[in-house]
Amino acid sequence: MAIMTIREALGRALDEEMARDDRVFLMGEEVGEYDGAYKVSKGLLAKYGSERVRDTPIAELGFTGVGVGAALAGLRPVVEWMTHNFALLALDQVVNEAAKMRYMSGGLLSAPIVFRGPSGPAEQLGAQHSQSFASYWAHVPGLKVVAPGTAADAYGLLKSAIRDADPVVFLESELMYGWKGEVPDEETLVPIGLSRLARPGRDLTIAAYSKALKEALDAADRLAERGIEAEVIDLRTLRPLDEEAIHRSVRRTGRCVVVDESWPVASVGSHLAYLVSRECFDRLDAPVELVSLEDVPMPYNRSLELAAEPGADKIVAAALRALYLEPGAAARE
Amino acid sequence: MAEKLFMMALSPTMSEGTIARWRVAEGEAFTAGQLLCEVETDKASMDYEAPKDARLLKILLPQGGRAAIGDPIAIVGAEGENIDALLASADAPRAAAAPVAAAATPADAPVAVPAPPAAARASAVAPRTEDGSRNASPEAAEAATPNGIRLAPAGRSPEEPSGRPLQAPGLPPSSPLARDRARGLGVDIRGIPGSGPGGRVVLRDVEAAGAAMAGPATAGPAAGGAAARSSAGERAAGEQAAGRAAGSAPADRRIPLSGKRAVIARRLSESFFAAPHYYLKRRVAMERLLELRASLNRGRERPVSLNAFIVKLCAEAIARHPYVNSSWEGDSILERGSVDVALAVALPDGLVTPVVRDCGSKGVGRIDEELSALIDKAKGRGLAPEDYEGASFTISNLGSYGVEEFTAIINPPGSAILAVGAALRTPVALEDGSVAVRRLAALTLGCDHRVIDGAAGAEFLATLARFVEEPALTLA
Repeated sequence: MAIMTIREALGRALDEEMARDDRVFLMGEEVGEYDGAYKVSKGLLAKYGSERVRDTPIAELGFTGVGVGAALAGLRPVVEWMTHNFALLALDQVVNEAAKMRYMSGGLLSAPIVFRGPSGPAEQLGAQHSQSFASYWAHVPGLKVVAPGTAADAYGLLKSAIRDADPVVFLESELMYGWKGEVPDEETLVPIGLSRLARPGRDLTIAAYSKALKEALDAADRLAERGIEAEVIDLRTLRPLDEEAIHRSVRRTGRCVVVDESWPVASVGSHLAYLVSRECFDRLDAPVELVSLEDVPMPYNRSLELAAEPGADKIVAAALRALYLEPGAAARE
Repeated sequence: MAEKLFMMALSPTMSEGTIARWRVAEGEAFTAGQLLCEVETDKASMDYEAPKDARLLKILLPQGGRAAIGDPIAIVGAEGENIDALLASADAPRAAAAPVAAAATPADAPVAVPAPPAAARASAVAPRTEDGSRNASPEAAEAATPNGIRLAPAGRSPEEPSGRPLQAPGLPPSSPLARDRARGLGVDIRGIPGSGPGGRVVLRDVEAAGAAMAGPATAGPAAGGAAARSSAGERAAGEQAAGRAAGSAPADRRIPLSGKRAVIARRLSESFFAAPHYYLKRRVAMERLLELRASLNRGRERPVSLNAFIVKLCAEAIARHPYVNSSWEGDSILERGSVDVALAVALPDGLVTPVVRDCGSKGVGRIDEELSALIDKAKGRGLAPEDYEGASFTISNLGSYGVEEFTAIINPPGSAILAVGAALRTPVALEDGSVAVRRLAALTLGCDHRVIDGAAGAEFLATLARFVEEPALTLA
């Protein structure tokens, strides 16, 4: 096991897949000469040349569309968006083209492409640059949506995404690029569609993904100090969701807190809360709690920004509500 | 938006509360977490904290007022809001002792609704919705419509500003898991005080009730945490008392109720106060029974207990007087086919009553085996609901403590309990005027007069006394 940053883990996955399959290429803003806006693609231009590591103009719709076309033509593009905030410009290419090809061609065409880049708030980037669009992508049939929370999963899931026969949206996080974790020395694939038991527990289930996973684990530590054993499930893939694993856990614990860095309305988190409410109804002792980004444009002010995010404090409070241990919870009716 | 504030469960066993003192005055604003009022619960004085920032627009339940969980106690909202509609709909909080059934049921309407008894019971305990009306069961709605009575819909109507948990008619608010566990434990969820929001019965409430009946508790850490929190107030009070105490005598000690203790208290109080008890006493000569037991036990590796014989003889007497094997069901009496006899067993943390089923068709050996297995189980991991529920007759034997005679409280759903005293050597005046020494034991039969009249109880006790004095008569 090597300890490496998520940045390095992603870079290693790209490097290995480009070495393995010469149809794989990377394109996006600053991915080549600058070694990547967040240095994920460091060294790849030097190693593979500008045919396979292509800098693009600041034109998301254009280069995303080029990527989709290349995928249809038989290549394996990895399109890097500097952030998912900018990817809104390319929404049409992803939703109306990449996600529809297999279905509308009756299976004759496929678009094996990875769209990747950081999503969600970082620190004081303002309302336009602090958004998580996980729910936008997860909404669309025809896409797979992957959101790793550890270095090992970043590595293993990116490799699986590149090899997948269909379009995969891959969610990273600016603040997570520097996080370190163990990554297997040998080549390892993490399958898309499987969650991971991040921490076993019997008193309640916390489901989280990506950056918020860390908040969930911090919350579980704090709950453990009070003698409460929270089970934490890392979703890893948002579409298709590993529903059965979550349901199994909740049926055992009887309580569920869903943590989502997106806004709460029509989100991955609210959908998961609905699924749990429906599938685990008879085993629930309390309503499913959703801890999300507050339903506001992200404030620039640091204190307000932190208050808007789904931090460990809010997760602990939600867990205590679900356990009927929070003072004053009873009066919320 | 102005809304009602409800009495909530501030301790796991609380079913109603009394306002000890309002700490926020009408018209005053408060913030989330601020102390709104102090509430006297069944066990302690608890703080009622504000659920959110708002203003106290109207106090519905003044100091000293008592309300059941879920009753409105105040109206809160923003300054200057019109609260007339809320006031009009506010059902004046009642003392929980007032007959819940009478308030706001369709039966209150001028036209009498001939509802079947079961439906009437169901609507009597239906949770109230925001506007003070009751969720009507489909049967109640059907019964009411031809008479021109309009029942409020069970769901939320537009006038209701905020939803309370919708429940099946006839059930208190409860979580699905709590209902499921209650079914599994065979516990009637309607008898369990809810500690969740709005009095919702949650898992820990059911488990506390189940553990209380099953013996040694096996609550998880979450339930333990909850218990710890709810008893923190009592502990603090106890420590204060200890601090005040001077002199050499030990300070008072306040012992928080275990779930088991709470259930014993509740069930026996319900029995003693609801069932009109009377007692019949006879002394019986024990010689023949003791001889029979000695003879049966000769050569037996494990002797059959005297209790097993008493259980069997009671079953035989019940077979001759089946009305003793009955339950009061409110609108009917259920005479039970199987004679299921419970034996009161003392454990360090309280009483349990394991039940031997169908004693009429079992011999004393089998009864004794089952009894000792149940007692071992009660001492170990605890009894399952099917081990202690639904006794149709109960025996309590304090003879081994040297108790000469005593009265016992009926163990529901049975209607009679037999209290057995010690078999003491006693001088007895015989027919011919001579005096002999006999081993006499006092049998005291406690009966529920709603089910068993005095003469009927006396007939049963006479038969039982004959069987104890001459066990062979059971063959007849």
